[in-house]
Amino acid sequence: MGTPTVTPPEHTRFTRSAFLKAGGALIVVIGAPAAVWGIASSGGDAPTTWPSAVDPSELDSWLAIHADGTVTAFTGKTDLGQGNQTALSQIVAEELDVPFQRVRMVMGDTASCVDQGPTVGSLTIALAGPQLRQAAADGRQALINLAAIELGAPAGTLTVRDGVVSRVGNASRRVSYGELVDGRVLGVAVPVKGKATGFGLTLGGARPKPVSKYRIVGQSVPRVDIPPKVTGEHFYIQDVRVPGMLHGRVIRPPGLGSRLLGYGKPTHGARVVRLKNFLGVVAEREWDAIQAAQELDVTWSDWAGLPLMDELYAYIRKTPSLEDTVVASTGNASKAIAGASRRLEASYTTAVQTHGSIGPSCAVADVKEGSVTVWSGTQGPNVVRSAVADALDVPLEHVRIVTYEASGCYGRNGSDPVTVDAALMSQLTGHPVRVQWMRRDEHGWDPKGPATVHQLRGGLDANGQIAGWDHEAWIPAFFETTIIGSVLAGRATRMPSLHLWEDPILYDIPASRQLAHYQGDIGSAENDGVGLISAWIRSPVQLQLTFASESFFDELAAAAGADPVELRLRGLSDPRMIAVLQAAVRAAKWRTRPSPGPDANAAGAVARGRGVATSLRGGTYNAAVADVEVDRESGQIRVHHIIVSQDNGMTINPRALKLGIEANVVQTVSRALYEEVEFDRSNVTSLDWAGYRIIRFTEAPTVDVITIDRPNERATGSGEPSCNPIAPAIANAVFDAVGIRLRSLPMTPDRVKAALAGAGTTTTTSDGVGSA
Amino acid sequence: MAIKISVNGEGRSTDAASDTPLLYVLRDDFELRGPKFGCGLSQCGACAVLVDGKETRSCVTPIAAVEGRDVTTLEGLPAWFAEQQQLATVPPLHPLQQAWIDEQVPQCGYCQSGMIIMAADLLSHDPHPSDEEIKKAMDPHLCRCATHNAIVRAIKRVAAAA
Repeated sequence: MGTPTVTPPEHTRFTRSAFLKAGGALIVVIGAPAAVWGIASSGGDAPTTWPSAVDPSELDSWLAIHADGTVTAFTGKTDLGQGNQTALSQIVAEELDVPFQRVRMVMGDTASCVDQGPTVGSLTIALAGPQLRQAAADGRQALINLAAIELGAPAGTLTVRDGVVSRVGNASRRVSYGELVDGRVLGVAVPVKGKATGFGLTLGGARPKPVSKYRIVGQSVPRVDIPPKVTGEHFYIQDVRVPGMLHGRVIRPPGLGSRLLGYGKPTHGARVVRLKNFLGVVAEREWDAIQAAQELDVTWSDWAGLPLMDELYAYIRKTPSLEDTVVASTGNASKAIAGASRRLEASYTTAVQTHGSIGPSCAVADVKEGSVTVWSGTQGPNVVRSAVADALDVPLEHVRIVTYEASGCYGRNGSDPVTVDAALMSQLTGHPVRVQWMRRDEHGWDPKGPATVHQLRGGLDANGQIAGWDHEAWIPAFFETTIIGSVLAGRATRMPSLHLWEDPILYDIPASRQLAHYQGDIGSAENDGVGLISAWIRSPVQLQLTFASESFFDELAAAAGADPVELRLRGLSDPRMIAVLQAAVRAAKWRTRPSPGPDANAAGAVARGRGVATSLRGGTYNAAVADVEVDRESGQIRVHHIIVSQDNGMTINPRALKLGIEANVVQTVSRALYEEVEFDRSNVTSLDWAGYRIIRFTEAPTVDVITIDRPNERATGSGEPSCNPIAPAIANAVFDAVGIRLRSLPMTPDRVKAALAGAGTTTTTSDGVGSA
Repeated sequence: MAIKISVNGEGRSTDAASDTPLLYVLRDDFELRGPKFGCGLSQCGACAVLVDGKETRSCVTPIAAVEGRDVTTLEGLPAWFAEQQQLATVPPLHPLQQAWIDEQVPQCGYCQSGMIIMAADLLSHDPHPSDEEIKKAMDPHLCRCATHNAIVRAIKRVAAAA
C-alpha cells in the first residue's frame, strides 16, 4: 500500500478572485454549487496568496446564490458538534425565504469566510447569527430589486416564497432566484457599522424579517451533520489526507521547561524533525511514526518548577497578581459585613481540568515557499492563522486555514497547538505532514482548564437578609495563550485570551464587591512565562465563580434558616431570572424548608438531598435543581436527576437546544464529581483515561430540560451556560443530604469522607466567623 | 507477506507490518472513516469494530490477529445486519443508525461509531435489554460530549421495535 490519498470534498480551490475579475461585485453567480465544493488540492492551480481578510462589506463574502436556486452561505464560525451549521443555515434560509434544504455552509475557511471571531463562549448564535441574518436580509432585498426590473413591477409589490419572487395577488408574474442571478453579477455593498471583523462586526442595510413571520427559525430542523456522522461519511479533521503526505508525531519534553540535550537514531525508517526544543518524527506510515516517536532515545534536562499538587491553592493565593480588578461594587461591602449580626467566610477551590476530547487533536499542513495551507480543527481559524504565520515566520497573506470539524473540544483543546505542530513539521521537512497527537499528548499538553481559588465573605442582618457580600477570586488571566510548539521551537507566538470575569452578582444586595486577582499560569514564573498553559473549558471562568458564589449563597441561607429558593427569590428582581428559577423548582416539586433536610440526621449510610442554584452568563439565564444520594461510608455521591431550566432569548432550534443542554449538564456532573488533572513538579502525570476519569453510562443522571423561549428577545448563548449552576446545585444537595459543605471541585469520595470526618467544614455561629 | 482479512464482506489484503494495529490498516490503507483513533490504549472505544460479530478495540488488535476473520466497521453495519437477519436486500442503514438519527444522538459524534458498534453487538445477542443492561454494556465506551442518555434512548428505540 502506498501513501494514502483520501481527499475530502471541500472548497480548497474556491476563491472569489478566481471567478470574479473585478472587485466591487456582489451576489456571486456561478454555474453550480459543485464549483464551490471542489476537490482538495495541495498544489496545482490553487492561488498562493490570500487576502489578509475577507471583506464583510461585500455581499458575496457572505452569500452565493446558484443558478439551480441553491445557496451557499459563508461563515467564519465552525461547528463544534452543537449544531451551529444547522442553526446558522436556518437563519439564512429564513431571511432569504428559501427552503432550508437549499442552504449549504462553508465554515471557517480564512480564504473565503469573513472573520466573525473564534467559535467560543456560546457566542455563535448570539453574535454571528445576527451578522448572517443581516447579510441574508440584504441579499433578499437585492434579489427583490432585481426581480422588480425583471417583472416590471415596483419592489414593494413583490413577495418571496421558497426562493421564488412573485407579485402580490398575481402569482403568474414570477421569477426564481436562480433565474434572476443566472449569468449576472450583482454589485451589492453591505453597510458595516461596527468593527470590520470579529464579535463587534455589525452589518446594516435592509430590515430583517419580523419574528412573527418566521417559518424556519424556531423549528426543530434535524441537524444536517448527524446522518453522515452515523454512517462514517462525515469528514473530521482526523480524516483529512493530502497527496504526498507524511505522518508526524510530536515528542514533548518531560518537564514544561526541559531542554533537549540530544537524541539517538530513529527506528522504523522514520526521520527526526527538530528545531531547538521542538522535536518530532515523520514517516510514510502512521504506525511507523507512532512507534518511532515512542522509541526514540531522547535526553532532556530536568525541570521542576510546578508547585506540589497538595500545595496548589496556597501557591495560587501567594503568587503575586498580574492585575487586580474590581469587577463590580455596590456600597461598602467590608463595612456592611463587619456590621452584620451574622458573618460567614469560606474559601472555595476548583481543580485543574482537561478538555478531554475523545479524538486527540489533529492537523494537516502543506507549507510551500510563499504558500501555506493548513487543514485544522480549530475554533478560531483567523486566530490560528496568525499563530501559524508567526510560527513559520511568513506573511499572513501566505497562510490559509481550512477548518474541518474535530472531536468535541468544549474550549481550546489541542487543536490550535497541533495546527502549529503540523505547520512546523511541514516547513522543516518540505512535505505535507499530518500530525495527530497521541492520547498522552492531548491529556498532557492540551491547554488546561485552570484551577481557581475563591474567598467569600457575607453578612446577614437581624432579619436574615443578606446585608453584605464579598467575593474575591484568584483566576489565571492568560491575557495570552501560549502555543507550545512555537515556544519549543523558539518562535514564540501567543494568542489573545478572550474571557474573564464578566457578569455581576445576581442578587440585590445592599453592599457587595467582586474582586479578581488575575494571575499568570502556574509554574510560569519558573519558566520564562510559560507554565501549565491555560484555556477555559465551558463556561469560561463562570463555572468556577458560580460554584463558589451559589454554594456560599446556600451557606448564608442555611445560616439564616431560610429555604434556599425563598432566599434567592427575595434577592432577585430580574423577571427572566425569577421565571427560570421558578420553572425549575416547580418541575422539581420543591418543598419549602431550610437545608439540611431530614436525611442529614437520620441513621443509615445513604442520605438523599436536593439542591438548587442559578446563574446568569452573557444574557442567558439558568437554574438547576439536583437530586443526589450520598453514601456516608464510601463517600460516593450519586446524582440521580437534574432539572435544568434556561432562557436564552430567541431559540433557533428547540430540539437541538434541549439535547445540547442535556449533554452539557451530564458533562458538568462529570467535572463536578470526578475530574482533576494530576501533576508533579515537572508536568502533568494523568496522561490517559485511567488517570483522568470521566463519567460513564451507569453514572449519568437523568436530565429534564426546561427551555423558556422568548422569540422577541435577542438570542444569547445557548450551548454552554447551563453548565454553570450544576456543580453548586450538587454541592448544595450534598449539604441538604448530610449537612456537610463541599468547597472543592471535584467532589470526590475522599473529600466527602474528609468533610464527614469533620475536616474542612465551616462552623457558623451567630457572631463567629467560620473558616474553611 | 500480505495479510488477508475480510472487511465489510470484502476480501482485502495489506502489506502492513503484522504488528500494525487493525485501526491504522482500516483508516490509512482501506480509507474507512468509521473507526476513530481515540486513545490507542483500549480505554475509550472510539476505534471499536466487530470481529466475527464481537465488539473489538481495533487500536490494540494487531492486524495479524484478525487474519482470515470478518471485520465489520460502521460503514458495513447495514450489510452485516442484513446477513444476521437474513434479509433479501441490504437496508440503507442499520436500525441503530436510523435510531441515532431519529433521536438526534450525536454532538461532535467522534465516539459514536464505537457506540453504535457496541450497541449492535449487544442487540445481536440480547434484542430486549433493560435500561440497566444497556448502560452496563455501554459502560466501557466513553463519550466526552456526554450524550449517554440520548444513546440509551436510541438503543431502547430499536429494542422496542425488535
